[in-house]
Amino acid sequence: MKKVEICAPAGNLPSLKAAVDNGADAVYMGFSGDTNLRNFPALNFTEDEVHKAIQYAHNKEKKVFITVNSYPQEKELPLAYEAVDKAYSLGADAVIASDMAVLSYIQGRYPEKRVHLSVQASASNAEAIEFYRRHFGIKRVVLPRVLTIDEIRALRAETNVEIEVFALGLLCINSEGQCFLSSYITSESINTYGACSHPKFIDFVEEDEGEFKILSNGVVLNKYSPMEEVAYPTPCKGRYYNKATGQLYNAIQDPESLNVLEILPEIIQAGVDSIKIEGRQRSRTYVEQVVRVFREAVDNYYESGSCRVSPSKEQHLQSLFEGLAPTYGCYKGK
Amino acid sequence: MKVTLGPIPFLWEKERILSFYKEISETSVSTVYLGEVICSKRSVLGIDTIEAIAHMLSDAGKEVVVSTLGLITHRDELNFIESLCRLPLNIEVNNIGALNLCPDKSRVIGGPHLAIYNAPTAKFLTGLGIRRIVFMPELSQQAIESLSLSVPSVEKEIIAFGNLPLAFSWRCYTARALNLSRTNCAIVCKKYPSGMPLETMEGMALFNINGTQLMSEQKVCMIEQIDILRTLGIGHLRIIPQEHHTSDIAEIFSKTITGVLDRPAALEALKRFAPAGVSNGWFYGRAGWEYVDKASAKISAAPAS
Repeated sequence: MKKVEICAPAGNLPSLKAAVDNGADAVYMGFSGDTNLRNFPALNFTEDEVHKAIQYAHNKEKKVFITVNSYPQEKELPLAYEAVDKAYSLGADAVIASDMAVLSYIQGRYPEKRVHLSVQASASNAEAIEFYRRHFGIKRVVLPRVLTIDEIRALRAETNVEIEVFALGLLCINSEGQCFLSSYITSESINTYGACSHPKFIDFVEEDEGEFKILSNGVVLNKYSPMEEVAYPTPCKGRYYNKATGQLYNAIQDPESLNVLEILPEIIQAGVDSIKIEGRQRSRTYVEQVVRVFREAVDNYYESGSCRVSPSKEQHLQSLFEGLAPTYGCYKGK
Repeated sequence: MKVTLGPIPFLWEKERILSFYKEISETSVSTVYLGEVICSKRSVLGIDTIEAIAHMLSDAGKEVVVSTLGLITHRDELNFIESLCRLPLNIEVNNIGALNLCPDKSRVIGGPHLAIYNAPTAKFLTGLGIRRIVFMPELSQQAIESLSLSVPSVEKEIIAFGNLPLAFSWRCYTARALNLSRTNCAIVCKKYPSGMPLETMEGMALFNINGTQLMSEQKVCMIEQIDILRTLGIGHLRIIPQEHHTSDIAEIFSKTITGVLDRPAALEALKRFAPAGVSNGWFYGRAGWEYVDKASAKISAAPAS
């Protein structure tokens, strides 16, 4: 029986090795710069590092997917095309893309190569997936985090395209590729620039009585006391006054992160081909630990039907998301 | 240049919708987009009613377009869109799934929710036969220019006034504010015909909750940029419906286009319909909520209310 694939993140070479050594079947990563959606300082791979990464993974019969999943504007297109060329020439098993120009380029230049549709394309229904399959030959879709398990099962029955879903990590509450909150506050588009709430816009300012406020490009996202743990300040995690109800609250999303460990059997049974772990911006230790837990859970499932791992491991897994409560997102209902 | 009216973003009572379009039929608006873009649970208008409104507006000389959902997650929603495609009307698609469904691409208008960021994408879509593109609100003047030049033969539209669409979610933010889930929402968004404004902890207006959508609370206002937009090949200026004064806003745009009203007077008049401030920052490559004053090229902050 073919097991569900574990697709792990890597932001640097040590993380890639950790993923491969601890049981990932595939690793996804990107080149440095704004061709991909984790454009953070000191993160991602040079060409030489990609070469080493692919060699390392292929030696152990693991796959490497390269993300070229931002939406390039005109002047950035050559860079995106170049990233595609490099990825395939270095031996990547697939490129993950969302923009139709990039997809067209791949289709025209590398018709025999594998391309996956990025979550950023937000293809959340069978007709959208079919459009990308028909026109661009996608072999796999990474589903946006807007579907219940029942909806994923229904999709499975309607398409032969492989399905990859998110299993763990930071959670976009809004449909990916269609969220402009950070861009509205900072001017920098997530889609074209590849980073939500980039650190360069964030300021922590100490106020009276030790209270801090967090600003993004001068706009207040939150205030907190030094005793409180706060999530990384993306606009969706901010606290706002709702003028219609008078509440001050996390109007968009509580500080929470996705963790499907307990419902993994249902997700596998829905017919997905790959489960994805978020966190290219995280450390080697994070990658090592999350991959190890998910490897054990998946193997247990195929041996015994249960994804149980020891409670201490489960607890430890969530402790990697400091200050964030675990959630199933909308997998179990909306 | 033509003035168009976008789909009503908020959920209104059926009677209000009917009287709204009656009023619009008497304005100089050239094109009216009808239908639900935000949430499939809001089906107050059946196909019959949409058809009846479309007839009334066509008789008044308007181009009528039926708009479709931005986020689609199940087959029922696709089936509904398929039946809308059977109406003898142009269709605004806001999701690639809807584009795939619509058999006659020459009736398709690519809505503001499609990710069209560069010329090859615009050319690919127009190559399929789509007739008009509504540019995404976050595009800068430079981006609009290169896109526009790449597809000279299709019609181009931008959102020129109103709350901007900022995000779609599976979650209903209106239900969340009232401690309900989306599944058991009882369509409570109907009680908020202008949405729920959100302010920062220091009183700056910022977002607006509209069911599963987040919008801007500032209203984009492109009245000072009409001449630039014209040179960029934009032929259609979209007004987003709001609870009050929509037809007044449309008339201000019409009169400005025809030169009856001057820009400063038009801007002053429009500001009265935007209590949380006007914005145009994205056009100038700035934060979306900012307003760049054309005359002085100064940035004015959105006022705290």
